[in-house]
Amino acid sequence: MKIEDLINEDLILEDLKAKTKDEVIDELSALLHKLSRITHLDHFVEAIHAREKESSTGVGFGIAIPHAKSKHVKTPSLVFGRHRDGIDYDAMDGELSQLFFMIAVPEESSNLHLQTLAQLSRKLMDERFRDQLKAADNKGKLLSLIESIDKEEK
Amino acid sequence: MQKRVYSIVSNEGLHARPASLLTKIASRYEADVFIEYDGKNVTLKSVIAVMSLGIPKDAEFSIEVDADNAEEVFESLETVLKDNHII
Repeated sequence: MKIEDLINEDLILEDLKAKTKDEVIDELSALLHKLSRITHLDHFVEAIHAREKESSTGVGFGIAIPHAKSKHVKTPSLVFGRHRDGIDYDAMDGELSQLFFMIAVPEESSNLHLQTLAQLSRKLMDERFRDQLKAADNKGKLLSLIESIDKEEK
Repeated sequence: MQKRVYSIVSNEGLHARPASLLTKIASRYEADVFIEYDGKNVTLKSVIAVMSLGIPKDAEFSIEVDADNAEEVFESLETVLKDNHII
């Protein structure tokens, strides 16, 4: 599965309004629901929270990757959100999180999940890439940066 | 440097949650701890590095520990791997 099949400009939020971890999850999930990528908002949000409870997906470097595999997901999706100041997302390194990649996948697709996260993680380890994401000043630029993840060598 | 090899039995591979648990355990030790899969060797103290390997079901991977208490480090990592049905 390619990242470019999971995301489009409508699934990008340049400036999240959220002020807390819960609000980030609500804001990103609401967009998935508005775009009919998920069938049931509350149940999907519950699945995301259940996963966060096991261990925070705030992986450090200002990045969080909330994700859920749920029967309430209609279309596998990646929604990207950026927060200018950063949010306390219980990150493993204790830093604030600015870049959010929420991944929603239907229940039956296990490998997609692992490989998508792997591709994304490889790219996000690169500080230049993170800086480009923070600096991009429109959705088009953000989308082409995110789609460039597909070009990453395995 | 001591090295041990494992293979994944979990259908979901070494997915994000156990990866973050491993990272937490490894970070408790001063030891250098690495994980290697498919020719790529990364620190086991960064969850994003571990996730970047995307280790799938049936794959073999190895963990390397450089410390006097390597045995103890391996044991706590293996406990997490077994408790989460990864190996």
